[in-house]
Amino acid sequence: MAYATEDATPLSIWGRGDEGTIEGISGANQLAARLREIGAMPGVPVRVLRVGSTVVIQVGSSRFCLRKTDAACIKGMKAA
Amino acid sequence: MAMDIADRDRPYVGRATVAVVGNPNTGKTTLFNALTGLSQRVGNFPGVTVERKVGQLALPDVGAIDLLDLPGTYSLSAKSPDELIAVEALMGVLKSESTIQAVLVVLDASNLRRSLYIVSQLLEIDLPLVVALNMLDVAKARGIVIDAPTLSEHLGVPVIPIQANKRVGLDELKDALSRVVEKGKVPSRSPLLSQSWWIEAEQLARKYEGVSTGLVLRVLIDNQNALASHVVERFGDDFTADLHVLRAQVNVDDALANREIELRYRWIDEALDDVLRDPEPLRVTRSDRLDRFLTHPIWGSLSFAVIMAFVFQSIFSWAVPLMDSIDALFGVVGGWASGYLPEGALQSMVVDGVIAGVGGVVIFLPQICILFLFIAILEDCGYMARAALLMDRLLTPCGLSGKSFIPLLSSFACAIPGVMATRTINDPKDRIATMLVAPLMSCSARLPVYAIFIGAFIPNQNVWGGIGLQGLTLFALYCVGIFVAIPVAWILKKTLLRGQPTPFLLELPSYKIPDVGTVGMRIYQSGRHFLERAGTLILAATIVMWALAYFPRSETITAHYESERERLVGAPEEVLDGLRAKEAGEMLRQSFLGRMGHAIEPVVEPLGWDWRIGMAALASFPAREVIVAVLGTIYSLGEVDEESASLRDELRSATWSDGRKVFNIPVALSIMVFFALCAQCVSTLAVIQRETGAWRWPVLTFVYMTMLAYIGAFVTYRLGMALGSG
Repeated sequence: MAYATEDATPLSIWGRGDEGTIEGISGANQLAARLREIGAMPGVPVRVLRVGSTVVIQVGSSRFCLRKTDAACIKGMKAA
Repeated sequence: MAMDIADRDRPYVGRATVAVVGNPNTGKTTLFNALTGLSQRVGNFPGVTVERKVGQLALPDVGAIDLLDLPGTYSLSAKSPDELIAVEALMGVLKSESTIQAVLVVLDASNLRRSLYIVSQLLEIDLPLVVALNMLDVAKARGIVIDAPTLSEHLGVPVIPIQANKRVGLDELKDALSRVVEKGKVPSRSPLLSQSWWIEAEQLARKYEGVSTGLVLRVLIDNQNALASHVVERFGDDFTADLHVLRAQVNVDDALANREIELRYRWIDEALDDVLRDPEPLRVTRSDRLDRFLTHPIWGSLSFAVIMAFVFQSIFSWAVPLMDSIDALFGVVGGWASGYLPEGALQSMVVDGVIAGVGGVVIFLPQICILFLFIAILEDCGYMARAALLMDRLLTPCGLSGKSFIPLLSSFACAIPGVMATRTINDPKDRIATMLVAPLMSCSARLPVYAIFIGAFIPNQNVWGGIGLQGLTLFALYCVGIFVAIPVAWILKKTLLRGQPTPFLLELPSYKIPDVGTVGMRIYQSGRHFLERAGTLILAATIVMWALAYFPRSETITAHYESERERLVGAPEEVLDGLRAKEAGEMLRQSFLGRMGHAIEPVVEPLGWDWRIGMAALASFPAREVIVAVLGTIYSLGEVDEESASLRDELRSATWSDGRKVFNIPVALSIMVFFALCAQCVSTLAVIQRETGAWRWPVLTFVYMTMLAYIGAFVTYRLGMALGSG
């Protein structure tokens, strides 16, 4: 299935239980590098497990918490 | 494990060392404990004050080797001080008496893809690898199928399936380690680098003493890193220049560092193609369901409070029978010593100094063990990360992040490991701020202080559903430190340590049943540490304080009371006892300690303290548990009782010279608040100096904490008296 890139949204605005795939990580800082290193690469399945000031996201089979503001750098394609 | 005791003390030289690495939460520590057991010890890397945890392992055919436990890391591109330690140890930048000969990588089978990232990097260092594929049971329960032999083929290194918590697969793992240690380096397969790079890097490495090919490759790929700057510092400008030439020669640009991750994951996905079958990666696990409750903004915070209250209540209620028996034991030993030793200074030192003093501290061993039992369980089951998540919200306003929570929580056990645990904090300013407030968390050495005063003066009432007033008071004292730490951290981050808010990223591992061996090891180590302190630092302080309280012996007082006794020959026993108590009291008042005490009395009187408490608090600046020992000694010298009543009863019956009781609830609370806030631990200040590399931080810590302690104790006493009389 072909997605248009415009449809990718930051994970910070996803709701609890929303699933999809990672489209990309923006930024060249340490956080972005670490997120990539732990497997947050394009095409990897992702789900939001907790929303709030600290969000919990599942990337592949790992779960991480990070601040909502930082989660904005992860763009994902929400599954319908 | 058949291991010669003498062997344990042999220097490292000549013995093989295998480093254990892996991502956090892969069961690395459980495996390390299972392999090394009680043989582990903590030392330093030579020349630097970086902790080095080593244990011994007997391998078939090879014999005894050292196993080196390195901090968990996701990648060789270190992002925090503890990850840097792991990387520099592996690269040989951190010098070691014995060089690392092989690496044992622990992988989480339920998180295989991510775990392989560091493996792909480790394939490029000059050391042979053995992969331990842990937690296969968890993976299997989730329907994940892994073909270990095929994975081993793709990686070109042995892959041994294990279950560290059930001690499954350890023999196979030892066999694999033996083979690797005997055989040495195997030709490397790099997922990223061409053979020509390898040859060039090898040539460069040969030119410099202590530089490995792996290190050259590492800094070649990733030069924007703490490792790279350390290497430049260590190996000088020539090395930097050579490296620069090589970068141009093999055509490495900065973009490669960014592409590195992408290229490695491409390689991983290829390798896993016929190895891993995970039918439903986004499956909802039992952990996820638990987390819906335990990380819920309201229910999660509430359960956190309930868990903490339960822990503190248990510390009190569970320890009592054990403490009573230790107390009784010291009573017997004291009676025995008084009977066998001739009356005089030696008897007094043993009975009033060592037994009453050190014994008074050792009694709290059960409480220390119970505290560490809970800390170890909470750590090992995976709850700590959830607590850090919940606390991030509270820590963000004071300029810190949830990352600071785990070091702070460790500080409830002891600030020393707490300060060292700040190495997981990436931002240097956050790290220092966390170190500076860590000693405000009530460590286990404060527990004896709280326990003695709560036990003596806070009524044992049930408040609600099994939660007692004593447990609640203890909980409140722990909260004092936390509530003071918040504004202190906030002020630090606004002034001396001003900086941008730093990101917070923390893995939430799956919940698991705590491993009995890991929990047991933690309790054993902390119990041993507590007893060692009691036998060294506390013992020495107690003897010094005893001598100050015993000498000088006044001839006039002795002569005066001798003549009194002769005059009263045949008087009832109570009269003679009273006389002896008066003599002892007078003796203590004119001792060195008594004279010093009277000099400082004006300073401590506003806090509701008498000179004895004042001196005991002053003597506790090297180590706070000393107060219990010193009070034991002072009251044992100052009072005469053949039965040797417990310190608790002695405190209850202590009086001022005008006959008023010294202690009441406000006084007890004032002492406890003082001890909750005061920087009475030389070791903690030393470790802050060591970790920050500057004296101003421990000095600042000492000054601000001692000031706050005095103010806090004063306010508590005045408030308590006002409420009590109102």
